[in-house]
Amino acid sequence: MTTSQLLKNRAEFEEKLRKLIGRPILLIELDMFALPCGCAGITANTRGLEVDDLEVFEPQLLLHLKEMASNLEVKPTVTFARLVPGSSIVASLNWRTLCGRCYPEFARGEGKTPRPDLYMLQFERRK
Amino acid sequence: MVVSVLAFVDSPQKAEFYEELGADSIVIDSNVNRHFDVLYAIRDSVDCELKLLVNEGCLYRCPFRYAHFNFFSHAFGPEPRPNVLDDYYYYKCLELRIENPELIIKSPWIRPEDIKLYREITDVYKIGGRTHFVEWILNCVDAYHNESYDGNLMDLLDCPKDLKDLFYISNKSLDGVLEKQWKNCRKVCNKCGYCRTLTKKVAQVYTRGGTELETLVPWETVKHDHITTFKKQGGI
Repeated sequence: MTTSQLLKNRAEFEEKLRKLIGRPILLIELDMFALPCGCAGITANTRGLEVDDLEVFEPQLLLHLKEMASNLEVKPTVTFARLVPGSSIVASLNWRTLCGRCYPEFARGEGKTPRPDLYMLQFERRK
Repeated sequence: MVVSVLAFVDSPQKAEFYEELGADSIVIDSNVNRHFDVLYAIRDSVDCELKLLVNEGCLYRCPFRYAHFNFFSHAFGPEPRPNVLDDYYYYKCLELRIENPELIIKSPWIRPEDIKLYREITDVYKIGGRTHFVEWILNCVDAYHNESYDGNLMDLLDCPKDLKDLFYISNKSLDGVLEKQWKNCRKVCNKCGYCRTLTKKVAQVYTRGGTELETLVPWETVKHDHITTFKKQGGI
């Protein structure tokens, strides 16, 4: 993964979001991360995206999210949006390959918002 | 003694109150920057120095203004500080303007070119943005000193960088608007629509930013593309 590929993916994903939602959503930052626990993945910090957009466009959005993960060679266990708690604001979209420690926390959660700041888009349960 | 813009002095009565307390200078509430009747009334009521904050990018009559600045005071003030995850007002304010850049146009900033229209009120201007890089501050000072700026209005506004990365509003495309429209505007937006039309004309959005394909498109195009995409998908 090179920085130019990351830049290209940020721009392309932003454009897809705009065409889908119909507003100039801003993808303010696209990050790849690794955590000390063993989780790794991608975070896309968004501005102008709301929970309503996720609810209405979830199937279409998931396709774009999967494509993006594949482009950046990430196989996410979980895909979620992080919300500003108590509001309709989506602060970021996250693709995460969960480590052994964090997996049970997500697996125990129920519903679309297992935590006030999480909106679950996809979760791959272990068999 | 200088009365802060956050004392919200937006009337001759408030100005008189602070002058009687001993104020040497009052920074007028930026919400009335385009209310010339109020500005003249304040000028006629007090003898102290008046200052105008020229480049604040905040929402006109922002509903979060008191709460947001109160939040700042607690979040960045002395210990103990509240344990808060996010600044809701920051996100919400950005979201509102991304959805409707008309709100940027309506913000009560004063363009460098329009300073001359305020000469009868004051000749002291405050440029906001002390936490920015020095180069940004110098660019702003240059623009206001020269009373002219040929570039993106967003370069001058003290607002989140996020908006500058998204919008391009040619500063020169707003020549004459204050004198022609805003100076006498009654702020009944739903009956007027001037700023709505102006926004469609002047607001552009960066697309494919950070790549060699980066370009500007009219803000309206984004909505149009969305509808076209949906029609193609059989959505409408």
